[in-house]
Amino acid sequence: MEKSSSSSSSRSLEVTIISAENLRKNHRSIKKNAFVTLETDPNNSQSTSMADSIGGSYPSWNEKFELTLPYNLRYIRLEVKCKTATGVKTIGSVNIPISDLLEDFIPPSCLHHLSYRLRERDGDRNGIINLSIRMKGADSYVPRPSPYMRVQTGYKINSNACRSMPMLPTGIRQTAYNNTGGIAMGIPVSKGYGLVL
Amino acid sequence: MGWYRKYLTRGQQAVGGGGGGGGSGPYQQQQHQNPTTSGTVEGTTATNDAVDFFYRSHGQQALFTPLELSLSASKLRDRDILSKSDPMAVGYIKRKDGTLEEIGRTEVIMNTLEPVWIGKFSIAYQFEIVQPLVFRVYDVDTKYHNLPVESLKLKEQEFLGEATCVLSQIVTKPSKTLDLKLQRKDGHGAIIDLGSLHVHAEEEISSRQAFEMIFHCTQLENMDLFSKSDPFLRVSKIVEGGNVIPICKTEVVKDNLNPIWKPICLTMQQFGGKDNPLLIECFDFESSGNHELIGKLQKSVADLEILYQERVGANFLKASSVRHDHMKSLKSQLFVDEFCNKTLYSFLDYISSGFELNFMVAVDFTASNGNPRLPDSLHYIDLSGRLNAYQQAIFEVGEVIQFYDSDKHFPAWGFGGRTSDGVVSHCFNLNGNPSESEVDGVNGIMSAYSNALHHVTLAGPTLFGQVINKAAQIATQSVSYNQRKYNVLLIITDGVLTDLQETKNALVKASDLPLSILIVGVGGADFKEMEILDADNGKRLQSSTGRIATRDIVQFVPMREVHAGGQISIIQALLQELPGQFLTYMRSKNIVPHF
Repeated sequence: MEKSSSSSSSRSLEVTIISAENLRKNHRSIKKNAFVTLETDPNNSQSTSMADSIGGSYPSWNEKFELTLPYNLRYIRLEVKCKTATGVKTIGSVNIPISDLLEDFIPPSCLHHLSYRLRERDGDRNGIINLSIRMKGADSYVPRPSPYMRVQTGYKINSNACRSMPMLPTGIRQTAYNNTGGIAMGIPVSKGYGLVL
Repeated sequence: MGWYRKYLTRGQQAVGGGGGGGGSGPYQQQQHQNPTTSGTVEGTTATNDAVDFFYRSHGQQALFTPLELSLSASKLRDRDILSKSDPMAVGYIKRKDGTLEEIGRTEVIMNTLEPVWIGKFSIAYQFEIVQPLVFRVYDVDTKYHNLPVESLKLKEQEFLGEATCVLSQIVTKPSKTLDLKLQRKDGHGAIIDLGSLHVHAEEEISSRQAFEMIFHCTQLENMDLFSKSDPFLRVSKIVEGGNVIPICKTEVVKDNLNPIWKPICLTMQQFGGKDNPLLIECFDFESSGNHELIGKLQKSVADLEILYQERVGANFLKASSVRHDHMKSLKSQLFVDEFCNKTLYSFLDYISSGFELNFMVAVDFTASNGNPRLPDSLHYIDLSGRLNAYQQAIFEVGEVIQFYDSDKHFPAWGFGGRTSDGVVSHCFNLNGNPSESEVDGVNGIMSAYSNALHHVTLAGPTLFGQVINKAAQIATQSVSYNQRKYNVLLIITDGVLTDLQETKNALVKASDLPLSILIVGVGGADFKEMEILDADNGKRLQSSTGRIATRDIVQFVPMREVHAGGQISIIQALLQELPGQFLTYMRSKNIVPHF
C-alpha cells in the first residue's frame, strides 16, 4: 500500500485480524481457505493468508496490518473470502466506521477489541469477524487524570494482549487423524492464553 | 420465583439440553435422546452462536468456590492457674435469623496462649451473598483432653472470646488473612478485649483445576437422508442413582461425519474428580429440537487422558435395534486430539492480588414511579423504616459489593428527573453536588437517594444511554491507567426504555471495558426490552453500525418476583454471574493476577 505523501493529513492504524466465527457459504459451513481483505479505498487493499482446515468455519489468522487513514476516510471495508475450486467467493463483508474506532470509550492509542456481523451481498447475516485495533503515531492519546479514579499501580498483562477471545490458537497444526478421511474442523488448544500449564 | 426458573430455563436452552432421564444406569435410557434445544429459523447458526456466547459469557465459573479457613490466635487470656490455656476454636455461620450453624472445631492445643491450629474449616464461598462468620475460642478443661472435640460440651469449657466477620472481608485481603479482635461482654455490657484471632482463607487446589480437550470423531453414522449428519457432543456427569447432569456441549458441525470440535474446557468442580464417570453422547442436530442420538460412551477424564496419550479411539455404543437392552458397539469412534491440564485463575485470585470492584448506582426518577409522597409510589419512603424497592435493591447489592472496594466511594446518579435548575437530566449526581458524584458507602447512597427525592421532580422519559456512557467513562480510566478496577453499574428502573437503540449502542461500546451492568426492574411494567439487553438468549447485542458486543455485560432481574421468605433472593441471582463476567473480561484481555 502506498503511503500518503502528506503525513499531516492521515493517521496510522494498526489492525489485527484475529478470527471469524461461523462462516457459511450457501448455508453450509466453509471448510478451509478463508482469508480477509482490508480496504481503505479500492486501490489500497491488503489480505491475510488463507486459513487451513484446522479452524473450518471458525478460522483464525492473528495477522497485523498497518493502515494509513486519510482524515476524510469514513470507513474501512473488510471482506471475508474463500478460495474454492471454482474461484474466490465472498463470504461476507462489513464497513467499519472510522467513528467506531475514534469515538470509542477506550482512547485510540489503547488496544480495542471489536467484533462485527458480516453481511452477504443481499444483506443476509453471515458470521462474525473479530479484530483489534490501535491508533499509532502522532494521534497517540495521553489521558489526563480523572477525578473519578485514583491512579494505582498497574497489573500484569501477558505478551499476547491483542487477543480478544479465549482459546485462540497459536499456530497451525495438523491432527493425527486427517488421513482417516473427511475434513477436519475445529480450533486447536491455544498455548499460553493466560493459563498456567 | 418465576424469574429464577426462567433464568434457569434460558441457561439450559443456551447450553443445549436438559438432563437425561432417571434410571438404574445411563445405558438403559431411550435409544433416541432429545436434548431440548429451542428450534429457531437459523437452526444451527443460532445454536452455535448461543453455545459459544454462553460459554464465553459464563467464563466457566462455578457457582461457588470451596475454601479452607485456617485459624491462629495471640495474646489469649491465661485461664489456667498452674499452666497456660488449652485453646480450641469453633467456627459458625450466622444465618439470616441470627442463629448459628456450627461449621467445625479445631483440635485442642495444650498449654499455649498463641495457638496455631492445624485443623481447618471448609466453607463454600459465594460471591452473591454476605456470609457472616462467628469464631469462638474456648479453654478446654484438662479432664476433657482425651475426648473427641466433637463430643465436647462447650458450656462446660472456659469461654476465651468471640470474633465475627464476613467471609468477603477475609478473601479481599492481599494475603487472604484477616486479623480480628477476640471479645466478650462483661456483666454490664461493656466489651472486653481478649486477644486476637487470625483467619486465613485458601482455595482448595482442585477448584482451580481444569482440563481442556479437543474431540474428534470418525465414521459417524449418517442420520440424514439427503446430506450428512450435523453432529455435536454433549458431556454429562453421572450422579448417584444413574441420573445424568449435562455439563458441557460442543458446537454443531454441519454436514460432517468426521468432525473435529472446538476445544472444550471442564473444571474439576463440574465433574467432581478425574475418575468420576462421564457420559459422552453424540447427537445429530435437528432444528426441531428432537436431536437424534448417533452414539454414546462412558469415560472418565482419566480415561480420556489415556486415550490422548495412547492416540487411540473409543467406540461409541448404541442400543441394538434387535435387542433394546443390548448395547451394540459401533464403528464410530471418539478421539482426544488434545488434552491439557490447566490452572485457571479464579475470581478470588484476582481479588487477593489487588483487583477491586467499583460500585456505581443509577436510579430512575421518571414520573411513572408515582408521587413520592404517596404510599403507592415506588419511591415512597416509609417512616416505619421498611425499605421501598429502590432502597432494597441498593442495599442488597451494595452490602455484597462494598467489601470489594477499599475506599467505598461510590458514584451515584439519577436519571429522568427535573433538577433544581429546572432541566430534565438523564444523568445527575444523586448527592446534589454538580461536580462530584461519589458518596461514602452504601449508607451514603441511601441518604443521597432519600435527599434527592426532596429536591428532584420526577419527569421523564426513561433513558439509559447517558448513565451507561458515564459509567463507561469511569471504566475507561481503569483501562487507560492499567488500574486494578472492575466496574459495576446498578441501574434501578420502573419503566419501559425509550432509547433502546442508543442503549444498545452504548452497551456494545462498553462491552470491551471492565464494566458490568446490573439492571433491576421495579413495579409492574413490561420489561421485555430489558430482557433484550440481558442477552441471556445468546443473541449478542448489535449497534447501529453493525458492531457486535464483545461479551455480555448486562444482567437483568425484575424485582417484583421477590417473594417473602424465599430461599434464594433475586438479587443473589443477579449477582452470581458477576464473577463470571469479571473473569471473561480478564481472560479475554490476557490479564493475570500479579502476586
